[in-house]
Amino acid sequence: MNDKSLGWKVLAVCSLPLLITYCSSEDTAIPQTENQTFNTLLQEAPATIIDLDEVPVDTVLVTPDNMLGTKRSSRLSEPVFLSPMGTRFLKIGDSLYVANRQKIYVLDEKGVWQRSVGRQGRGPGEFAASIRISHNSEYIAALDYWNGRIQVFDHNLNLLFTETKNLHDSHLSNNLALTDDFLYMGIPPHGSEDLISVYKMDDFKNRFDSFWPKIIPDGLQPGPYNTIIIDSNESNQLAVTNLGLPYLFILNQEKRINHLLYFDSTYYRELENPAAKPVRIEGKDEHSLPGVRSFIQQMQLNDDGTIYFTVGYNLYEVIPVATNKYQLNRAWHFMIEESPSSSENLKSMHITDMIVESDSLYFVTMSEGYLFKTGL
Amino acid sequence: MNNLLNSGQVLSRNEMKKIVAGTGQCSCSYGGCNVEFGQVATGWSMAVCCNGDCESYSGSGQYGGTICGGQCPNSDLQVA
Repeated sequence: MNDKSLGWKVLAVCSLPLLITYCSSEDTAIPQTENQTFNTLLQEAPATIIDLDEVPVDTVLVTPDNMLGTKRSSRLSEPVFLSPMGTRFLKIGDSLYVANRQKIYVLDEKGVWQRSVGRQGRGPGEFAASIRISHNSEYIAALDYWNGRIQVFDHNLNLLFTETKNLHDSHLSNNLALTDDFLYMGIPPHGSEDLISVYKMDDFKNRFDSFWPKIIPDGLQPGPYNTIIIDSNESNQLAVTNLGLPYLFILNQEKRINHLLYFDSTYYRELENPAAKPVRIEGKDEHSLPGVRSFIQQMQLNDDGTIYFTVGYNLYEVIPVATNKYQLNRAWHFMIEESPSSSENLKSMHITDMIVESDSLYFVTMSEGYLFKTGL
Repeated sequence: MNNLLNSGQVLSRNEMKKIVAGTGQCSCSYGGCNVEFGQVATGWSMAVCCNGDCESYSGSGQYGGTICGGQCPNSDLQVA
């Protein structure tokens, strides 16, 4: 990637007086990658360059008072401890629905675990392993990947139906996003060169569409660039980003790219990720194949078009300021005391899933095993 | 990150191949890092997260290494 030329462009822009907030620049030529398929996507819409280093990062101290789920109802016989990876959750009304291992738990507005559904198995309402969940105004969909199916519940967690799918992709970050009309799944359809499968909510049996090209063909490297993070909102907008690349695409309901964001940052340059050019490398384990380090790790597209995403330990907020105009607004870094008695020993919190709603952040982390809620 | 995965208790290559044969997922913590691994018929993928930094790998066919020094998939494997 041509980071040097970009750096000079951003430096030039940022040195101007009366600068647009945080150095966002619209319709500027953005850096191309070494991948022709991906570069084609970059030509499809106007772009905004956002310099993540220009926003002040607020440090937020998280305390035990911010923990949710330290208590449980008598209906739950065992304590809930969230696994360090793979916990996903969503918020409906005042309740949080937390998918952890083979269960979906309900956490009430007071932060008390109330009940759970699911257990390990292959039957209806059972799950093989960690679950990905998403929801719309009517349903909760759980991607039971290792059983090769999607299970759909109502908001009271009554199982409505189970639909077996031909799932064969090996990427772990396969996620899903629901609107009232469509389900988007970051798993390639069988035999397709696309990465995202689309199903209509009123015709769940048949795949309706697919889109977003594989940028690394099967069998070539670095394969992790094909991992997709996707989210949707009530306006049927989609936000899509490829793992390890500093680009985020905003799509309309026709799945056309309306706008794209390029994030310049010191963090990204220090990742030193491999070129996205497809190459043939033989190898059987992580020691012999190129790894791709994550840039955007978690991402949320709100109904008003605001985008929240994490990069490293930081959470960023990008807001739409006009049609197809975006601006970096705020950033945070969350820290917690390693032990209650050592207030000087703070450690950064690695967010592994999050919801931002009404200026509150709900999140789970890599190592704490709890849900947290804090104001922004 | 690679060194962390490759240190400590390690099962024999043959034993590990037997364990991860087929398809399934496992996750484990090792050396201060968290690892998530998945094997399907056509390939495998792995995410290793340490200190706010996550690195991903994917490969074709059967995975041929060890995960978390051999404690995974023993500890948490869910074979589909």
